[in-house]
Amino acid sequence: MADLFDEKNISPMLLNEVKEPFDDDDYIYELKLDGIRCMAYIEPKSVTLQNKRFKDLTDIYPELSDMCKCVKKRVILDGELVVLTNGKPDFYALQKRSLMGDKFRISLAAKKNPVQFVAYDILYYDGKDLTDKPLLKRKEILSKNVKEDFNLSISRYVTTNGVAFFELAKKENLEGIVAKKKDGLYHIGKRTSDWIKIKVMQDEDLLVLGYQPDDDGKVKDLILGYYDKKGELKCRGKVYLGVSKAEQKIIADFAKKNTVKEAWFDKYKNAVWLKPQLVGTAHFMHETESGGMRQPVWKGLRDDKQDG
Amino acid sequence: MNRQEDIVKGFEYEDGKYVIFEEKDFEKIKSKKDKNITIEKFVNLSEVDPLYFDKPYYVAPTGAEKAFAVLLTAMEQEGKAAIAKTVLGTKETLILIRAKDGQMLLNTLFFEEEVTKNPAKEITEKGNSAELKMAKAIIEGMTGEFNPEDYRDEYRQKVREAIERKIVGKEIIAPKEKGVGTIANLMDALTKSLELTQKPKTKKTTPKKTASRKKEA
Repeated sequence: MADLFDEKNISPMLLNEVKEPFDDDDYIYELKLDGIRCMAYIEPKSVTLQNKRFKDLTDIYPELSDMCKCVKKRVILDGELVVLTNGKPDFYALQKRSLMGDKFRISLAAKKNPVQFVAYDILYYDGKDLTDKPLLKRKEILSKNVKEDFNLSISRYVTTNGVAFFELAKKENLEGIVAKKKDGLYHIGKRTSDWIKIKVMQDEDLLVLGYQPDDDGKVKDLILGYYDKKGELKCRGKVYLGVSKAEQKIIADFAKKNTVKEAWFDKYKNAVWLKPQLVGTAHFMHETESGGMRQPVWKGLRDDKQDG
Repeated sequence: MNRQEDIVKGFEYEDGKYVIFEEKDFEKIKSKKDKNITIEKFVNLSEVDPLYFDKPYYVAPTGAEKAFAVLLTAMEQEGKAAIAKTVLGTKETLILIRAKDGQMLLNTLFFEEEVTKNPAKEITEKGNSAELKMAKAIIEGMTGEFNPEDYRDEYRQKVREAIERKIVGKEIIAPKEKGVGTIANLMDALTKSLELTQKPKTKKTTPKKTASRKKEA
């Protein structure tokens, strides 16, 4: 039988989403940390990190090769990469790290603000596939056989009190919580109701349909939209916070060849309108009555998603 | 503030006098886009003066891999390199192709007109045969294989160390011990504070059906 560790092609189990937290004895509740999902293949001498599209991340986060000291046998851990700023997960700091290519810059950043790995599941231990064991059994194997270190933490969980835990996460400005069924198996690459996320803020993938320039003609506010069920473009709103210089440049370059003459939406004046091709993620509190976004922050363009 | 679109291309043919080039002027003279590499002739690699070498590239075929492999093997066994032309960007470029370990390597070459004539004056002095013999003996004694990994850019290394020292002087490096500033601290704090405020309950409700609103973007 193919060995999960040697194959290194596990896609992580996916999460369903509900809007409201709930209390249920059949579930445990963990914090949802705003980072990057990561599959870690660890053995006593080496570490291999992969994102959910199997891209090798090992060289991008050299500080995590220390995780090999945390195990005595081969393990596969499912978890989240996080960077902390003032003790809280900071997605933007992590994203900045993930885009670095220069080895020297990476080594400086790794010393200054190291990436940490939070393990919430174990799928393999010492030659054995654990995906058909219930969650709480896997959690037990995880805490028994993986030692915590600066770079590696094991995800904490609470039972029953989902609603109170969600309120706590909200108060602390965290991303939200995840409810997981105690006896659920690990379904590779599948989205089931065994794992449910409940988020304080919402993320949505939207099309960049245009921008309003500042006085120097540089990209400032992004105008975002989406296709409705009839296939018509609808406006979602504007976002300014979180648009990086690098992305302003990408969008300006895109605009050189991909503008459209007619405005998509009349309500925004002095805008440069673009062909609906760039996709990115916006982050916001629940919708306002008019269907817009409250306190929107731009999370970034997605290169893995194309319109079509 | 200059805007990108305000900048034009031109050529100053006399002081202060320019001919302006627009995009359509370039369109006319651009090399036709061509992904092919056209081989002009094969030569011995040692014949090509390194003076002409510009930038190196790795090349991989898109399709016709068998023909590619045959050509590479033949070139490697015969010790030949190919002189060829291809379009890189919008400009036709002279290139040299060689085979190494079953892979294709490519170097762009300078055109003759791009290479400056050696401005140094000709050396006319010649040594006698004893001096020549001694020089050859020294060369012989110092001859070895070329191992690129033996050499490091030491200046670059020193600059990096200097940068690091300056940063360390300005910033407090994050403490790297367990329990300080880890995500585990945050998780512990929250789970403990929940335990303090909540008594175990045994209420049971089923989670609501997924209301995740996903738009196809």
